[in-house]
This record gives sequence, C-alpha cells and structure tokens, in this order.
Amino acid sequence: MRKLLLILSLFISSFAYAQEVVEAPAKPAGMRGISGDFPDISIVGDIVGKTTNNALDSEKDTINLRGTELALQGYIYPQIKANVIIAFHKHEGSIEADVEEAYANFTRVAKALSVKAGKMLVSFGKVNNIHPHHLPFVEQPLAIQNFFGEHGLSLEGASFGYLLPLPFFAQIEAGWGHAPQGHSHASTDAETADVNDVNGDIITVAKYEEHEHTDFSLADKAGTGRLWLSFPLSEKSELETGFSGVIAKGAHFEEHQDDVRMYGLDLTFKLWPSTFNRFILQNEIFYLTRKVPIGDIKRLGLYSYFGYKIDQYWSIGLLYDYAEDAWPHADETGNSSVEISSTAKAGSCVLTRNLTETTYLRGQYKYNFEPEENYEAWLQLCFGLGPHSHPLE
Amino acid sequence: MNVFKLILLLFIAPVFTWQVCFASPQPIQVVTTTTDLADLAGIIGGDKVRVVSLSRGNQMGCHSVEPRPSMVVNLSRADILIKIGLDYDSWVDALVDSSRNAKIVFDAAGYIDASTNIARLEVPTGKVDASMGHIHLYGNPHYWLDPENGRIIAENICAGLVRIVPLYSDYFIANKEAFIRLLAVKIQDWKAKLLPYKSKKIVSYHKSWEYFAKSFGFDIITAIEPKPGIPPSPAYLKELVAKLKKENNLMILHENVYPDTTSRMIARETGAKLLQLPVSVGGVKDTARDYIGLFDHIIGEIAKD
Repeated sequence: MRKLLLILSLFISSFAYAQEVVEAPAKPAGMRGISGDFPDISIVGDIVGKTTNNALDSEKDTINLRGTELALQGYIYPQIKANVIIAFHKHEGSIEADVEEAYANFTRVAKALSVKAGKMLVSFGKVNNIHPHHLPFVEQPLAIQNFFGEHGLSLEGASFGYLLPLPFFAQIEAGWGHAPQGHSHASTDAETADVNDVNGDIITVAKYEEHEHTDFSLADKAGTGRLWLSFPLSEKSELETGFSGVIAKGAHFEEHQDDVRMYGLDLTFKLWPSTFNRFILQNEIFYLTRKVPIGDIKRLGLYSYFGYKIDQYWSIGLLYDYAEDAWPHADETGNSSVEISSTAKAGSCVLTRNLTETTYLRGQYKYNFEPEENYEAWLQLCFGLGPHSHPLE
Repeated sequence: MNVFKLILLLFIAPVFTWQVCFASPQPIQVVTTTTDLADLAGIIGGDKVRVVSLSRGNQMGCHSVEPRPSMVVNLSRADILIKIGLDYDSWVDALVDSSRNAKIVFDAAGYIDASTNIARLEVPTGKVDASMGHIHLYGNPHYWLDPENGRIIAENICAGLVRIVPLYSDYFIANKEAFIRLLAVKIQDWKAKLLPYKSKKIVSYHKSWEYFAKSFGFDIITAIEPKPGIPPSPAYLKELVAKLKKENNLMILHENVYPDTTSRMIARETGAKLLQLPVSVGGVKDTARDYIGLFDHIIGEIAKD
C-alpha cells in the first residue's frame, strides 16, 4: 500500500510546477487613474432640443436639460468596487433626483464568479442596463419604454454573474430582489368597474383607461436571469446572442393584481473592417405576459438597429421600433379585454458627431407610423466631465 | 498484492509514465493589450508562453479598440496581463473585471505595466482638462516607439515572467539578454542609417513620434492635430499651411491608422515628404511583423530617397 501511495503522490506532483513553493513575488509596479484617495467622480449632462408636428407633445419646440448624472466609482476594498449613480431628470416639468444605481460589486468572489448588491439596472438584453447617455440613439427603444417604463428595469437586491468555463464567451447572470416602482401614475380615487374574471365570477377592478398614456413598469419581488453568449467569427467580427427573463409584478399590482413574466432574445453582429470603422446590426425581441383577472395579456416588442461608424468622429444609424402597449384594451363603456389597445411603429435615422469619448452631438429624426402618424426630431448634446467607466456592454 | 491493487497499478502506471516522459507543463498564458508587447513577450517567454494580443497592429489605444466579450475569455485564462500603461490602454480594465481573474488585476503578481522605469515625456504639470485635448495624465504614452525603451520593456516583461515562473528564470533572462544584444546592434545600425536625414523637420499627425524623434535626434516642429485627439479645423489648417510653407526640408510622419486626407493636402501644399507609417507591430502587411521589423520598416521608409 505504501508503494501505491508513493506512486500516487509522484503522479500528482508531476502535473504542475504551479504548485511548487516559490519565493514571494516582487511587487509589480505601474500607474493608473488619478493619484490620491479619491473615487472617480464624473458628471454627465444630457441636453435635448425637440421639435415635432404633434401639437399635443409637451416637449414640442423646447430645449430641455433632460437629465444629469453624477457618478462616483471606485474601490472600497480589495476586489470590491462601489458604483453610485445619482440621476437628476425632468419629470412633468420639474427636476427629480433618483438613485439610478448604487451597488457594491464583489468582482471576484470565487473563480469566475462576481456578486453585486444594491440597486442596479438589470442586465436584460443589450440596452436596458445602458445609461441613456451611452445609447447609440436619443431614447430607449419603444419596447423598453412600454414594458419597463421610462427609466428601464432596475432591481434592489443582489445578483451574480458567472463566466462559464467554455471556449467561447458564455456568462450567466441572475438576480433576485425588489423592482423599485417607477413614477406612480395611479389615481388615488381610481374609478372601478365590475368585470367577469376567467371563471365567470364578477370582480371589481380599477378602470384601465386611467393609464392610457402612462408608463407601465415592473414592481415588487422580482427574479431576473440572462445567458449571454458571444462568438468571434473572425479577427474582425463577433456574433453575440442572449436570452433574458424576468418574473415580477406590475407596478400597479395593488389595483390590478397582475403577475408579470417577460422574456427577451437578442442577436448582435459586429464587424470592424478597419481601424475606426464599425458595422453593427443589433436586434432584440421582447415578449411580455401579464396575468390579470380578465385573462392573460400577451404583448410583443422589438427593435432593429443598424449602425455604421464612419470614422473616429462620425457615425450614422437606422432604428426600427415596434412595440405593443402593455395595457388591456378598454372600450368606451369601460369594459376591458386582453386585446391590444395600440401598437407603436416607428423608424429613425441618427447622426452622431463624437467630440471626445464622453461628449457628442446627435441629431435624430423619427417617423411614427402608428398609433398616430407624425414625426419627432431631436438635437442632443451630451457631455461628460471627469473619469467615467461602464461595464462591458 | 491483491488483485485490486494490481488493477489499480496497471491503470496508473501508463498514465504516470506518459506524464513523466511526454507531457510538458501547460504554457503560461500571456495576454497583452498591443501587438508590440505580444512580440516582446513571445521573444522572452519563448516556448514557455502562449501570447495573445487583444488589439491589432492597426489599432491605437483607446481611440480605436472596442472591448469585446471574446477578449474576456482570453483574460479569464491569463496568468499574465501586460499593459502599455500610462492610461493608454485603460479600456482593458472593464474587461479584467468581467474576467474575474484575480491573477491579473492591478497589484497582482501577473499584472505587468510595461511603462515601469520609462523616462516619460510630456508629463503634464498643473491642471489637466479637456481644453488641452486628449491629454494623458502620466505623459505621452507612445514610448515603445523609442527602441531604447524596448530594452526597458523587455526587462519589465522578463521580471514579470520570472515572478510568475521562477523555475524558468534562467531561460527568460537568457532570451531577454539575447534580445537586448540584438536590439543594441540594430539601434547602432538604425542611427547610422538616419544620420543623413537628421536635418529633416518633422510634422506629425498625432503626437505619437516624440519618443522616436528624441531617440534619433529629430526635431518635431508641429502636429497636424491642433491638440491631441482634436481634428484640425479649416482655419487652423490654413494657418498651418502658411506657417509650413516658410519651412523647408519637411517630412510628415502620418500614423497610418488615421485618415490621410489632411496630411496629403498639407504635403501637396508645402512640398513636404509624406510618410505613412505604422506605429505598432503588424501595422503594415508583410513588413513590421515584429518589434525589430517595425523599426526596420519605419527607418527604411524615412531613409528611402
């Protein structure tokens, strides 16, 4: 038996030099960031001028400071980073402050595993967790706005990310917590109506016409998940795909008692033909289901974006939006059904001139085909002051 | 010996024999941010390393490298990350976080900043802001374009490799010494070749050639970009052309990663010699395949009559 143990120990020790006892390594040197014990502090300003032929648009022919973002980023402990984003944005004419994100990121909890805790934008598809100033277009795609609300889906809780040990990029992310409700548009004196539920029983619910022009968003306990895959097709091109899902309640849960499920599929192709040129074709499709007393609401949304970076400074893009509304249909008498009330379809062209990595000028023309035919045009100036970083997008 | 032990031994013995006789240790996984560093790491690490560069030779720092998910896979397997440093390649930081690889984070043994001990040029003093263009806080980062700095980079890489695998220290040091000897000979050769051209006045497109000019004794009189990263306006170009017309013996060193329209126009208007040059290994096809070849190409172009 001793011989056997000896052979086994020789066998194990023959595998690697890496396990040998070595002298303590000399400390590596180098410089980065700003010297001094300060976090990276940055401010982003987002100024938007808008014109439209829609007379009912409150932003018609105005120039607004749409939002300002104060970011504080840095290490709080070896391998733990804090990221705090305070957003000041305009809502119904007044500036509101909101903690857009504030989380601690345990960047290496174990091999290939990271954990975040706090409030964070959810990694759902390709654009939900991108801050507005970092999007390639002026506003979030209509599907994100219709299904997650004006500011996207965020989560107060914890999430983990795990890099799967595969020969290509494969990352799984999952989160659990509470989806903070967006702006509340629910009337405190909501009118009610008696309706038949799926079993034929008469129940009293709030009238849905209250929300015809309001945001739908998720709220209450929420679970999220995403599988993100990427394959290099060549030295100059990459194909990414992702599958996302979220389980939560509707923001008006107390009124409508709805369980919400949402699924997303994204597919992105990128090609870098030369130093500063880049083609991107990015597509996402979203499927929303809401279980409400009168039945299951099922809605679809998608967008397709084609972008071309002409050179170091200029880029152009084309965006197609399709989004069904997230609400039930309400007829003139107040009776509700799960039919689609309205569908938005729009096409946009975008021209961006980058001044620096964080400052750009952008023009966007959007033609709305449905529900009403009109146009919107924006001129956007987005500026950044100070060191500002984003996670891999 | 019972039957169980015999069977076990029969299974283990061939594997053990194969391990001892044929299997070699896995090469050290080295990831670099540029092709120049990849070439030097390959020279010093030899067959003990497997080197991957995250950028291509026709890319230049944060201006043109877009972080990609596939880069995360390389970094997640890396034993060593070699950076240019001086905030030139800070784009890699988010990727290192995504890789969750503790071996290559700042301050870890596998983190090599190749700029260590480099005599930095154009280090800003006082307040730095965007009114000055794209200024690097720690100075001009294009130090690898001075071949004398190639020796320091090689020393830094060698120290990092020895730190990670002291077992092969003799091998790495021997490779490094051989490279430094070759580089010294080549530097003498290049300096001799450029001697007749030292009176040339250099106009650069971007401020990439400061280290090169210092090393070979050239005088850079201006850059076509009014400030780093800021494209020239028509009014600025008009003034620049008028100023350069008063000069003679001009040579425009245009980094071939940038569009050449403006440099061509200035060359046409002023009679300057226009050279479109690579700034990194792999920046031109066929030549400049390695660090020595990069300088062979650049110096060959300058010395071409």
